[in-house]
Amino acid sequence: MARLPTHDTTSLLTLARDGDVDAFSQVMEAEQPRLMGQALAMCANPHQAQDLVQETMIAAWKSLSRFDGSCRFFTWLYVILLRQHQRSLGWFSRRIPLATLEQQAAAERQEAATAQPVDAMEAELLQAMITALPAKYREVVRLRFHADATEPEIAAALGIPQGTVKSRLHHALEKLRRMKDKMNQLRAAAH
Amino acid sequence: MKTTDSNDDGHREMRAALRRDAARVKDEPFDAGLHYAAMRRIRSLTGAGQPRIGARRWATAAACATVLLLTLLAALWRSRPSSHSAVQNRFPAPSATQPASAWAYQTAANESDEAFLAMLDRDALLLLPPTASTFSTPLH
Repeated sequence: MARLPTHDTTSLLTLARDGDVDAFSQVMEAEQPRLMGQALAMCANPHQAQDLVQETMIAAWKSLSRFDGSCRFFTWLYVILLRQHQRSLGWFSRRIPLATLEQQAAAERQEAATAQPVDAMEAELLQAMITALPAKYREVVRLRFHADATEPEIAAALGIPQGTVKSRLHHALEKLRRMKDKMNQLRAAAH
Repeated sequence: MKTTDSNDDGHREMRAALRRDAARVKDEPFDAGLHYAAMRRIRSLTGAGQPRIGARRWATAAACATVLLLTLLAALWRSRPSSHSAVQNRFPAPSATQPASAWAYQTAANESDEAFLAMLDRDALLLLPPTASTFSTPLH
């Protein structure tokens, strides 16, 4: 297959919106490493992450006409990744009850003896806490911190007012803080 | 205020933890197999590389043309003389153009002479031009 001449992302996306699959392929080649990194951070195993990235690419192609350039392409792509992941979790696992977190804390205490690095433990716990958030809060947290999107960008990508982004972020941080406090209480009780 | 301060501290801590967590997520090496598998599926969706947006534009144009045609037909249908009014033109309504019945004359005569004569005048108008001498020299 002949390579297309190098274009910047904006002109490639314009071509892709007009149905140019090769242009879309070129854009996705550049975005895939970061997208895959994020997918791996969300999924339980690499196969799930690969499926998630593939489904995200297809969904992005199908709805490419809706990308208006009001946010970075990666931010828009990341919203699709989050929603595909949400869909793959299914209805029953959209919310993880706090009891699950408590079980996780117990498992963590048992694993402490196996000298798991503190950073890795914190990362796992934080992931569990983020997953326990309601979807609307989880989205803004991941977009703000993992996709490194600004509040106006998040507002544009989600199609909500900037004030709503601020408020959701505040509530999300508050919920995470409370979950962390609860986890600390459980840890203190265990020692 | 103390609560707000402790909330702010908590949020600051959470933000820092989230940033640390985000920094741990690294880009993965490009997976050509995954990429080409996804692109193959995308190409199959577009129907042998046929421009997807082009097809959509054609569909939109066809829909617009259909709507336009239907609007035109509806406008033509509305502007044509209706069958009812055509019949009316050919067979004028009796009340407006036919002389009053004998019963109507009797009723008018019972009511007053003026009503009776007005009815006669009206019926005369159906047969004679308004300039006819009959109207300048009334019966009474």
